[in-house]
Amino acid sequence: MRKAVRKKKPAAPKPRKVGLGKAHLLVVDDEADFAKMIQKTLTQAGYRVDVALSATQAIALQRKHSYDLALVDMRMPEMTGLELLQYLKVRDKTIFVILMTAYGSLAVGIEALRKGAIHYLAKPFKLTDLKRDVADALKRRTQYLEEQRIFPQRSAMDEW
Amino acid sequence: MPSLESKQKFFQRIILTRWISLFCLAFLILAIEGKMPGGLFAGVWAIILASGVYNLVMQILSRDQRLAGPLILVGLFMDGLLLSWGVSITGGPVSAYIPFYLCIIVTACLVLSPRLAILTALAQLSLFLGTLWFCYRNHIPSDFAPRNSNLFYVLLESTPPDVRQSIYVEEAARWSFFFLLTTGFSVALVRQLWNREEHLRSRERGLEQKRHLIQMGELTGRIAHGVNTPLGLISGNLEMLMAETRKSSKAYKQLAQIEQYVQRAIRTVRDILNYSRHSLSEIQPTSLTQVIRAVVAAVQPRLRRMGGKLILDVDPQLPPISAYPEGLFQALLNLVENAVDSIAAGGVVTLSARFQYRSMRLSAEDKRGEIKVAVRDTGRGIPAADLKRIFEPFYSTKGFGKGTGLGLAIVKRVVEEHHGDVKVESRVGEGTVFTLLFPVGGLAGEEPANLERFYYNKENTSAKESTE
Repeated sequence: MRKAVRKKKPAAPKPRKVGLGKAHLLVVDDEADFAKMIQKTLTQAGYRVDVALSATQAIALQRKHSYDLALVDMRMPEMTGLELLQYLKVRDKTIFVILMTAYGSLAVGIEALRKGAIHYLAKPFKLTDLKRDVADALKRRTQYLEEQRIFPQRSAMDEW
Repeated sequence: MPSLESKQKFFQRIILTRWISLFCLAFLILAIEGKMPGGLFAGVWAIILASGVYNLVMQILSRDQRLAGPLILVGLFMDGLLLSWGVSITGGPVSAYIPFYLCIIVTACLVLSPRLAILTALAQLSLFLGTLWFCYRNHIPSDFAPRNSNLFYVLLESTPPDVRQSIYVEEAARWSFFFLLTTGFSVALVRQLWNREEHLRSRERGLEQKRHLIQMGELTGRIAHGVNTPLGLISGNLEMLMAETRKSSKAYKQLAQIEQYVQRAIRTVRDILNYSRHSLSEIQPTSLTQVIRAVVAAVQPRLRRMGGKLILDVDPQLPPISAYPEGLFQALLNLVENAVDSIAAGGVVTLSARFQYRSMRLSAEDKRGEIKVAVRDTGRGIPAADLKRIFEPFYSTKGFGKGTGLGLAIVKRVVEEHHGDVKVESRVGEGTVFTLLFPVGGLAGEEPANLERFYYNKENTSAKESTE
C-alpha cells in the first residue's frame, strides 16, 4: 500500500506578541505523553512552551522563568491542580491559569473559576478548543495588564 | 414501624413470657390452695387452662411470619380480656391490676404503632364497661366464680338496692380513670423511646449513605481519569495526524471516520459519568447564578466555534434554592448545548433566569415563589410531531452516533426531582423556548447552614452580560 500520509508543508508559525516576544506557557500534567502533545500543538501555534511533569517541577520552573499562562492538570500525585493554581498565583499575580480536568464536574468548575482560573477544560478536549482558549486567555491577559496599568486597583477576580 | 421479622421475634418472646408466668401462677396457687377458704381458685384454674390452650395455639401460629402482626393485636386483646376477667372474679381493687395493664399497653405500643395501641386499650375498656353495665342491668354477678368469693359481689349483696347504682358508677369511673392514665402514660413513654430509636437509625443510615457516596465518587473519579486521559491522547494525536494529512486522500477519510468513533466514545463516557455523578450529589442550597455561570463557561468554546451569540439575562439577586447542583448544571448544560447545536452561525441563544411569585398565593405574606429559567434559541425549531416525544429517553433526531438521546430525558428527570416544571414551545424555522420552573423552598434541604455564604459571598455581577 502506498504511503498516503504525506507531510504537509509545516503551518507557518504565527508568533503572537504579548509584551515582548512570544508568549511563554507552562504545561503541568503528570501524564508525560499528554503534556508532550499539548506542548507540540502549542509550539506549532507559535508559543514558547515548557513542560512540567509534577507540581514541584512546575514550582521550580516558575522560579527560573516568568510565565504568561499555565495549563494545569487537576489530578496530580503531589498537589491538586487547585492548590498548584493558588501557589502559582501567590508567586506571580499576573499569571493566568487554565485548569484541565479529567472529571469535569460543576463543583470543580466553580471552584476553579472562583480561585482565579480563567478557563477550565474538560478532558478529553479538542486541540482546536485548546488553542482557542489559550489565545483567548492571552488576549484577556493583555487587556488585564493594560487595565492594570490604568486602574491599578482592579484585580483579576473582576474579570468575570 | 418494626419489620415483620422483628415483630415475629417479639411475638415469640411474648408467648415465652406468658408460658413462664402461667407456670409460676400455677405453682403459686398449688402451694396455697389448701390454706384458702372456699373455692376461690376454681375460676383461676379455668383461666390458667384456657390461657395455656390459647398460648399453645398462638405458638403454633407464630411460626408464620405474616400472621405475627395481626396475631399480636389479637393476643394483646385477649390478654386484656383475661385480665378483666380476673378483675371481675376477684372483684379486687382495680389499682392492683394497673401494672399488668401497663405491661400490655406498653407491649402494644412497642410492637404496634401507638395509635393502634390506644385503639386496643380503648376496645378493652369499652368491653369491660359494657360487661359491668350488663351485669348491673340484669342483676347478675359479673363472673362465673362462686358468689361468696367475689369481693365485689359480696359488697353488692350487702348493699341496699338504691346504693348499688352508685357503687357500679364509682367502680366504672375508677376503672376508666386508671385505664386512661395508664394508656396515656405508656403511649407517651413509648413514643419517646421510638423517636429516639428512629433518630439514631436515621443518623446511621445517613452515615452509611455518605460512605457509599464517597466510595462511588472515588470509583467514578478513577474511571474518568483512567478512560478520559487515553481518550484525550487518542483524539489529540488524531487531530494532529489529520492536520498533516491531505484532505482529499483516502487516509484522511479513514482518519475522519476514526475521529467520529472516538468522539462517540468520548460522548458516551461523558454521559455515563454525568448520569452517575448526578446520583452522587446531595441536596444543598444552590445559587442558580453560579450554576449558570459554570454552564456558560462550559459551552463557550463550542459557541465560539459555531460563531453564535449567547445573551445572558440573569437576575443577580436570585434567591438560592435547595437543589442538586450537579443535576441543575447538567440539565441547563444539556439545554444550552442543544440550543447551540440548533443555531446557525450568527444565531442567538438567550439564557434568562428570574424570580417570580407563584400565581396562586395563599396570602400576602406567602413569599413562596419560583425561579423561571428560559433557554431561547433562534434555531431550526422542532416539528410538532417530534415535540411530544423529545423528553423520552433514547429518542434522538440527531442521527446515529451523534446524540445518545439522553439529554432531554435527563432534563426532565432533574426538573421532576426538584418538583419543578418544564415547558417547551417551538416553531419550525423560528426557534425554540424551553422554560423551567423551580420552586423556591420546594425541596427540604439538609441544612440551610451555608445559605448566607451564597447570599453574601457572591460576586455582584451586572444583570446583563453578553459574551461574544
